[in-house]
Amino acid sequence: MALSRPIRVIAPACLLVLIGLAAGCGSDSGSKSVTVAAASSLTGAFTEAKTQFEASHPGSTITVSFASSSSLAQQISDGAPIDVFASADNTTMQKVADHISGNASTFTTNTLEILVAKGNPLAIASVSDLARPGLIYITCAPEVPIGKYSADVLSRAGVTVAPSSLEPDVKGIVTKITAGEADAGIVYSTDVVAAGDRASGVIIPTKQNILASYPIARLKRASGNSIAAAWVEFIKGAEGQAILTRFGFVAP
Amino acid sequence: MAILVIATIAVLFFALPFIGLLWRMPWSEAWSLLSRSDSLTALRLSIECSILAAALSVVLGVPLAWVLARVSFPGRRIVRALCLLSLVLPPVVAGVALFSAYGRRGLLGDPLANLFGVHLPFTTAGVVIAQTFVAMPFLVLTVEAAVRTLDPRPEESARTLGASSWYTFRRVTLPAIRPALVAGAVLAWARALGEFGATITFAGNLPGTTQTAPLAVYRALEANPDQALVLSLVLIAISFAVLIGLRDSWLGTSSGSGDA
Amino acid sequence: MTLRATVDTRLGDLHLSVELQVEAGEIVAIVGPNGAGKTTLLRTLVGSVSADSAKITLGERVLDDSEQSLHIATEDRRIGLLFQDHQLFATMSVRENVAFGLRASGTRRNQARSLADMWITRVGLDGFGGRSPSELSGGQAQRVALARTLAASPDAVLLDEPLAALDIATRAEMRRELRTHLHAVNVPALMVTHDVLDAHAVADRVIVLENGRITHSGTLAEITGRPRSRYVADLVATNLVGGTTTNGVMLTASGISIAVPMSSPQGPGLANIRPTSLTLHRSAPEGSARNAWAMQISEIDRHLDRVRVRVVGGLDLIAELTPAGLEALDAHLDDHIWVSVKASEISVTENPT
Repeated sequence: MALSRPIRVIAPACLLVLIGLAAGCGSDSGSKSVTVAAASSLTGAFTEAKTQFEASHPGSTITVSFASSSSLAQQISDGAPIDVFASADNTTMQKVADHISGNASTFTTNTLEILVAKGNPLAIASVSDLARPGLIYITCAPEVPIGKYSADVLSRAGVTVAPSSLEPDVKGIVTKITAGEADAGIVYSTDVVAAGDRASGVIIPTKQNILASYPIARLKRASGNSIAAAWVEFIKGAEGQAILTRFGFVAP
Repeated sequence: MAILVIATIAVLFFALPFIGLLWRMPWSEAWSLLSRSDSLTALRLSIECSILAAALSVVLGVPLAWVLARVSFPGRRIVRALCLLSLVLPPVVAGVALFSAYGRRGLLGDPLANLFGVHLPFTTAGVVIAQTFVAMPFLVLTVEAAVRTLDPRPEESARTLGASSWYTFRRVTLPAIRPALVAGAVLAWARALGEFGATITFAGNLPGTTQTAPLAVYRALEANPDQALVLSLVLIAISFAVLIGLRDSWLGTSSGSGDA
Repeated sequence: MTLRATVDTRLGDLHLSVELQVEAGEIVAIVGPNGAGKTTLLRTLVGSVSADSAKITLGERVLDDSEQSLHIATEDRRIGLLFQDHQLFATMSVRENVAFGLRASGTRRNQARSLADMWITRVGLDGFGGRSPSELSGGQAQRVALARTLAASPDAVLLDEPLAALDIATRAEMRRELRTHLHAVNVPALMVTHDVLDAHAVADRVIVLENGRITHSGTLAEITGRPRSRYVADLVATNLVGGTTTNGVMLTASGISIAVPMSSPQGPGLANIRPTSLTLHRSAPEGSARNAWAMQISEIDRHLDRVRVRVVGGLDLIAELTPAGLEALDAHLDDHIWVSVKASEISVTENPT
């Protein structure tokens, strides 16, 4: 009996805390706090954009969630509290067409490069070199934009390559190549810039290359959210484009 | 009463997610989704690798547990903590740690690749290594606890009867800890079956070679969510059945050896 | 084959310093208070504890020589150890238990089984080979443990309180059997016990170990005749009366009849009458006690919490009372007094054969 009294108090208290936490998350949408879901390849650029935006919009808070576009789309379909979605391809954006407010618009583009170990010790010069026997090539599954783009590049070059792994997102490819576990993979030019001196990039000729369009859209739950609108404008505006360029993106 | 209420809340807390899964399950297509060759390949690979990982955990973990429980040496606490670290490590970090050691440029992986041409990343062996790395602590913890509570005198008796330490371990210690050994092996196996982070980081993700069922679930979640649900259900059903079986055999045999 | 040991070691508060020698076929009992080092000595002899300084030889073989840094592993010593609570392997049958030592040393399965069966028969458990240890009584389990120890054909046998866990009736039988089997294998045997009657019935010689030192060594009669320490005085402060038992009555050499339990072993033996079981009376007692003798007080030895009264007359007995009891009795030196004891309070051990 002595035990049950504190428990009688604690149990409802726990429930209240849980409900409060859940409610607290929900109420953010009306405030100056915005949650942005962005493709992994935007990690560097959007992190910096967030800092500048918050500085020029006092009181606003931007939370950016980075993952592969396809898993973010899945989260949005499952009702994740996301206000703005920036995808690495149009196909993925179309999957969440029911959830977006207005139209999605392309805010930047990205080209592809072959990521190789620092200094390119295997002297990989072209896409066809990826088919070299014994070379460990990794990519992503075709549902992930970079996986689909890589497959397109290989088919344009007329090369068949058996990948050693289908990584969950482009960061998986970068991590394994910079760690020396894999020899090469096709990634965004921006990833080559982000890898800095930990890896090197090999240019893919334009006729084999893909111009990846990055669409951005506000989601329906943020239709009345002015900060979310301001964020989209910021990204599409001069300041946002300057940041994107610095990270290797090309203006549309 | 209050305890019952809280206990019920706890049960619901565990049960609801599974009920939710069943609720979302596309029952009419379940069989066709499951019998897809990529589902079956991933399940078969998962079961094979997890059994190998459990076996490897037993072979390496039981002697380790015995030493931790019976041999006192300086730094034993540190060694124990080290061997249990992968239990609390984020699995992705475990994967990074694994390729720092056994990867192509790793401490051991480099000589392995240069001298023997053995590559672990992107191979099924790599999956087994990753699973063993995160699963073995379950076995070590369970078996060490059992050895610790074991009366040392039967072992001492065996030695005075002329049995070597290995013979004693095999004939006297092992049978006495068998219930804990079975329990530990099953827990390790279940952990290996569900392993995701270390596997995808260290071994990669390729259907038929390294794509185990949890990896296939993760991938299918984006490409074909219904297939992901069906695969998850199979994983849950297998683990659930084994855990139920484990409880009975554990209680059953331990009460049998307890009075002897 | 002779077991010789010189051991000097410190373990916690204990400083064990012992030199002993046990001949082949000799059974030596070690008695002593708790913490005297009895168990440490046994463990040093079997090699599961390393002494600071030890020289242990068994026949020609050197088992421990700290000067040469020589330490033979337990399994290579060929010294059997029998525990108080048998320590049978619960997961094996009786036969597998007894065959264990033979199998461990490489004897083939069939031969080990038939040797094991022979030992099982020898300890009187014919037909028990297939049973599980959990189906045995305490006495049966201890017999199996003895068979298991001896089946491994050890060059010496150590026994750690082998009778302590047994009930009184079984204990009497086991005393005889232990002695018979240990003599039959004709190796040095060293038995730790806290019961002077066990020592009397089983051992040829008794060693008293106190505070890590041997304080007495000799036959039980020699030791009890000249107790040199408080422990031994207490140990032997019991009344041991020799005589011949027939159907629950022991007749002493001095012609006194003592009623003893009907289950007592027949023939020559020793009756143990504990001082606290004796009652003193001013007049002839009435009631259930079948033993009542008119005797005379020859000594009164007062301690703080108890009084020892020596009474003589046909028998020579020590009775222990509380100071208040003596007060109430108003007894004095040389008083004539009645002494009674219930037959059920007396235990009889037969003489070793």
